[in-house]
Amino acid sequence: MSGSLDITLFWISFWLYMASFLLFVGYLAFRPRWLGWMGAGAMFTGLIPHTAGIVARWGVTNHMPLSNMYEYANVMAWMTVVTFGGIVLKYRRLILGTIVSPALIIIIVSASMLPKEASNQLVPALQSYWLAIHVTLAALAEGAFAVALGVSVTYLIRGSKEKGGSLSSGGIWKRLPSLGTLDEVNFQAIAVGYPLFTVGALFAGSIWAHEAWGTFWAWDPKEVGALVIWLFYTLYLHARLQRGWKGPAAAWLSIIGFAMILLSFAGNIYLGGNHAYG
Amino acid sequence: MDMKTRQTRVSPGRRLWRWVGTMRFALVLLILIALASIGAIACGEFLPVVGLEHPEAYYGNILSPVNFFLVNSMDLLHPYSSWWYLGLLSVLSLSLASCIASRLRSVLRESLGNEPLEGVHELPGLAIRGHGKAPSEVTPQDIRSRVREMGFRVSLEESQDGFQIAGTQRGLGRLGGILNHLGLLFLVVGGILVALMAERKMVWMVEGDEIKAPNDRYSVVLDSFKVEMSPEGEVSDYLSFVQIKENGLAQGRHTIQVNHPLRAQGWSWYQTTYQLITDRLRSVAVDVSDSAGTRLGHVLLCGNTPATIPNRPDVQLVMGSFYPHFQLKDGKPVSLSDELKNPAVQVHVVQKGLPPRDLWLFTEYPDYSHSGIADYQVHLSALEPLFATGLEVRSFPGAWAVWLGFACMTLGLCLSFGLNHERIWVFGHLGESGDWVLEAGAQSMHGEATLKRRFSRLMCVLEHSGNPVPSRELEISA
Repeated sequence: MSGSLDITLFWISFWLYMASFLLFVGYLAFRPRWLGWMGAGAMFTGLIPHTAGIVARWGVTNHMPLSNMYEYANVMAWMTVVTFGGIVLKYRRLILGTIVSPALIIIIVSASMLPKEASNQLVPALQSYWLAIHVTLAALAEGAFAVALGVSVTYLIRGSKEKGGSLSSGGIWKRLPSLGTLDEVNFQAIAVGYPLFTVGALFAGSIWAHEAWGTFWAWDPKEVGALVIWLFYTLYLHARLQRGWKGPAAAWLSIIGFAMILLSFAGNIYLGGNHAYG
Repeated sequence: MDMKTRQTRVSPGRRLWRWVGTMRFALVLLILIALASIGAIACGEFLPVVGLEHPEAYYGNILSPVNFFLVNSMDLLHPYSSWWYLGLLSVLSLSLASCIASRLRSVLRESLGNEPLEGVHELPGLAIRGHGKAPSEVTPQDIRSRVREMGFRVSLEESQDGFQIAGTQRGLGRLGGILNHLGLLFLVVGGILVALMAERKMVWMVEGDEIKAPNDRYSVVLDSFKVEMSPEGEVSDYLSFVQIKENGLAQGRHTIQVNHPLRAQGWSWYQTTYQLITDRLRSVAVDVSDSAGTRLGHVLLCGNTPATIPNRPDVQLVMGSFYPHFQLKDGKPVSLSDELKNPAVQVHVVQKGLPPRDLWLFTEYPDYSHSGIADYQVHLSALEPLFATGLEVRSFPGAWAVWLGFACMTLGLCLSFGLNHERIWVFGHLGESGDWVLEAGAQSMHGEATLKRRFSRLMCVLEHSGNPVPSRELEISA
């Protein structure tokens, strides 16, 4: 049985991410830079057992660990941490950890509540190289959307503090990146996630469905959910690039978009369909 | 009617065509399609049709006449192929076509060219603007070089009043938007074509069956079907081994399994499912011993073919009825379900000089035997069920449009998001002091904040006549 090793490694990474979140909150509140470094350190340290756990699960099940909701959420959390790493490299602002870690916590807590039994045997429909392509790209895209969520929430909070005048006297919110930077990171995260979601979730999924089931599109609840998510982010990009919707409007659209992703997860569990593998 | 009125008059059809291609229309349409999709999911939950052979008849019986009329007229039992959903998709196609037609020329011009602005008055329309000055010893060519160093492809126009520098880079990125729209148009049209013109048929085959393809040009013969099980007892795969025959001649052998359909002459054969044949078995293997327990031999029973016990030609065994979930009801054997829960097979024994008699053999009780056929004991060794393979045969007349849509849109996304089209314009004229007075502007497809920083740096550098700028001044400028 896959049992203990990969799940043990999951819990180790879970608590390291929790510690990272608390350290980032402390960094935001109390300012010493070493707290920020420790928060980032805890998060990237957590990535080690997280990666090892995914590899261990892969070794035991003999297939990529993407065949049920727990495995998918686990990989999505991994993608979120990797995306955060990219953002830190680009913007070199540790304070962004206070923005990304809450989104990471939402995903990792969701994964912790899902059944973790591993199945050594993939159902015949999942025995294809498209599993790796379709699910990995979708998870990476949704990890990027999760980063956009964290940035958007921070934008709105900081924006309201700025409007209320409480930033002028200093305080924790003043230490966050400027609204312009937060807005740009929000857009950049969605600009990464959108093409990955389009190609990975929709196109790769359609091509695989054509190979496996003989139809590009079966109007399965998960597929329709993905379509609605895609339509929503398409609307976001059009509104931003063509109508100049930035700032608070763009932040709210990001938050609603991720809420749709969470609804899509719930729909997959409760409505069933072709994608209800566990 | 004067010339001006004649020139500005646009036909209602043309006005409608243009309106359909506007951003506002597109945004409203996207929202409507999203809401319609969510509504269709709700229809599927409240009016399920899975498992119903005649859903219209079923709901006609259980709904009130008014409700059934509403459900039927709105086609809520098949929402994704309903008139309103296909109508929305058709309007989306028109919107995409109109958007592409109205923007194609300007996008091509912008992406492939490097057009200067008409004048300084166009600068206020740009998101990034700035003004500054440069010493008189700096030439327009020097400024052009500085802009070129930023990675732009640059043109310089000089006049008596001054100069204009226009720069562009990664213009192909702007083509991405057109390709995305074109790709989506192909996808929607292809999807509608497939939905309306595709044919599908479900066929059930057992070994030896031959079925003609829907186009009658060839037939498919099922040689054998196999269900593979994992060590944990779960189904790991199921495969149909077939051969294609044309005019009675074998053309090749193929394996059909999930994710590996057979494609032949415009038709695709998909391994969809399988089911247990509940009234017969592929084979039964039995061990026969004499009354002392001495093993006499192993007998394999296949179909209705009699088999003799080794060295006992006077006794023949023939496979009889099969019950996958055996139980006695009112003294008669029945099968409670189609699942292999208590498989039992009847074996007829034909012995010379004796009346024929029947044995019952049970998988769950393999040691159960009958003695009473003239000193022989028969034990069940193995039981091989017979399955029928379920293949779905499909054609996809509009699939080429779907594939073209995928390709277009993938390329479009790579261009849109991989190449950030940026443009910059710098106007300069000599001021009263002899220095250059500069007015500049820039725009970026996505990445405005970064371009703004680079733009500020440029203005700072120009003010210092191209000499290295103290880093603190650059930071303040950025």
